[in-house]
Amino acid sequence: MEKSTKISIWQLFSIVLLSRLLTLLTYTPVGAESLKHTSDYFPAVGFAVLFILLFSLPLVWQRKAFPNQDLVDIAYYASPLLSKGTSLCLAFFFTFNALTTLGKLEWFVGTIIFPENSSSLFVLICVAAACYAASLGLEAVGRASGISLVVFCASFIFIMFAMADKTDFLNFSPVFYDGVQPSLKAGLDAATRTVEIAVLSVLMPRASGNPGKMYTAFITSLGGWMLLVFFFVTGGLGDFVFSQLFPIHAMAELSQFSVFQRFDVLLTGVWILTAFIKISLLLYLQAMLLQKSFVPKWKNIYILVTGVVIFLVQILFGGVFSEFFFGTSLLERLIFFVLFVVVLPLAVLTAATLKRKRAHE
Amino acid sequence: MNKVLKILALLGLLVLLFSGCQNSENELKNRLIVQAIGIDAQKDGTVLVTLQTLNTEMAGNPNSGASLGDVVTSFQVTGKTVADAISNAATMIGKKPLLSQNRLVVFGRDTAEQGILEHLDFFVRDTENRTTVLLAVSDTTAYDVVSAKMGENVLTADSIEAILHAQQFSTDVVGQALYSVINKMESDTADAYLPVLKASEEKEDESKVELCSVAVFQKDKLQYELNEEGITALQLLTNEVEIGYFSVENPEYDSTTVLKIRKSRVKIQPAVKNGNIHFDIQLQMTVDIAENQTENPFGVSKEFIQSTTKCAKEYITNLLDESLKQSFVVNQADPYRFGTRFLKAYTSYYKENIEDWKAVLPSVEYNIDTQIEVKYVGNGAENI
Repeated sequence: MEKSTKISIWQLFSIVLLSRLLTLLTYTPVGAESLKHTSDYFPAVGFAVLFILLFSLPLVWQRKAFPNQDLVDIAYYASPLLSKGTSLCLAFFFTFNALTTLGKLEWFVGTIIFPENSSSLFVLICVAAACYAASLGLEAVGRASGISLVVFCASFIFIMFAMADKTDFLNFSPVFYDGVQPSLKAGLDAATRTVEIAVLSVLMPRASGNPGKMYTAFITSLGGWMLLVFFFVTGGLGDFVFSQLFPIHAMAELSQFSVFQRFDVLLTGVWILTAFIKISLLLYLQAMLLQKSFVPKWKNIYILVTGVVIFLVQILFGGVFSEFFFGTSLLERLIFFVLFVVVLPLAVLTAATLKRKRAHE
Repeated sequence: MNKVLKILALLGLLVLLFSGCQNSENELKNRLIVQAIGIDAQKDGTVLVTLQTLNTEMAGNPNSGASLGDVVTSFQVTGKTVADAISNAATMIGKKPLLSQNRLVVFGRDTAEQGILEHLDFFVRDTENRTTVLLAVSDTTAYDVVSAKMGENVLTADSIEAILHAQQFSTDVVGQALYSVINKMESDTADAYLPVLKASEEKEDESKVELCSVAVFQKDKLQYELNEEGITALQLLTNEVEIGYFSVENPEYDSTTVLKIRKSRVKIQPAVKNGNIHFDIQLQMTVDIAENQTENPFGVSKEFIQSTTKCAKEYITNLLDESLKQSFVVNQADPYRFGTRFLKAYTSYYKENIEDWKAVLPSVEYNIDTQIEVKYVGNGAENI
């Protein structure tokens, strides 16, 4: 089904932005690093962007030193064994993130949509659809992302428009009420949820166009969306935001005007669509990586097996991955993230650079 | 072959997705569609919950001619908590309650005096409840309001919701949604307030529900009530006025003039002056003359307008001053969120000097500057 190996840079932009926006949608103030004052969200967004930029430095190095190669290809240049190891590590990282995404989607569905019924059937359908979409290839996921991003933006513009008269500036607390640390921690916390840096390290060479422009657009759009969403969430709900498991859904409930009373239903649809695309992308990525380093013909088998694994894990041990968000400390999550997104690329890039240096000498 | 497989897969998916219809208890006619919930805490620690529900038989066939009863029915259930009582309703009626259509939660006066936060937990926690549901206090018991029948085929909850939404065009009404109330109750610098509803019997089997005052809470306990003028002041000081009316007596012309508020904006600027907390309140209002009652009502002169504007300014300034005194000095309450404004503007001062905002309130100074401009005088402006 995969007709083309390259996608446009703006399709890649849609993929990574949509994927990261899903993480924003599923934001919950419950957890170790949650903020206690509404206005602390704004500097936290600034810190998050700075940390994401910092974690993206290996990506910049990769782009400069090995412009048309993904991390696995670069690792192969250093050593075929390193390439296999990198593939396995990244495939595990993407599968883990597919699990956490599915876990959070199931949690949202179980809490908001089907609070009284088992959501196993929903999870099964979602995983089956994601497997099918992943088997169609990157171009299909890219096209779906482009359309979904338009739907996402349109629905949020509606919601924000409806929220305009419900925003009360008195709901914003003083900034840095408890000092800079809470915002700094929240920013770091948000950055550790940006799996898209690793996605870019694999997909950037697969896109035709200027990746620098795309990355700038990604980081600017992400920062802008985060600011806008938190502005309306905190300005509309005030401290009530801290009692809500899914504050962005609560904001959608509040955003009603004229005969349009149920924007939350619109948001729920967008949420499921975005999660489906993210899971498809992560399934595709892990299959692509394993395909590269192991059996090239087994792409659909890798997708199917991982799909079955994430379905079974979610059904049998669903709570473990939800726990990852709430029970795990920031330090533990940071170590996990840095290991795959910073240390692994740095190790691969250093090994490849050294080998190239030696070859030149 | 591939196409056939895809079609079969889709058909299989449809079968799976429509499996929800197997559960007949989820069908709309088998649900208890809750329109309003009344909560009365009992002396023995239990909660008496009154549910006003939609009669689905009647609502679905309003013109059937058959005797299907009233469009709404109400009944009472008891439980250890609100959730417990509502779940008891399911066993009593044999239908599963549907809370997502609930429009109103009413607390009995005694319950409001004892504290309502513990009863609100269910409405925050259970995601079937909407964050925008309106809250109110009953002048007597919640049962009286929730079980009131306002006429044949009248949805009582719908009518009460409409009354509370009249805030958009009246300065005498206050509507408060769940999220807004929780925000204020959880705050150290503001106090929540709720409309007080009174149900009175008009005819046989027909009641009237009206807003009689606004209850101001200290944390989650009813503390005191605002009368009509107090509600107007509250609306003005919280910038909630869109359209409203007030009347002004002008002794110079022996007239009573009703002014229609076109626009009202208040700016409240906190300051620390000579070690005292001070607020500059600037109210800018644009009004129209809606009605003039004098010996010669139709013609109004420039002098009359100037004189009436002066009277209106005095009236509004006094209204705000009296309301602030009653809240700050007499009741040590801040439903206007002055404390929130002060905390935002003087965060360090607040953290260093203020432990309890409510204790500071009686010593708070303020200056009220009211600006009123008459925009339109309507017909009969022959002398202008």
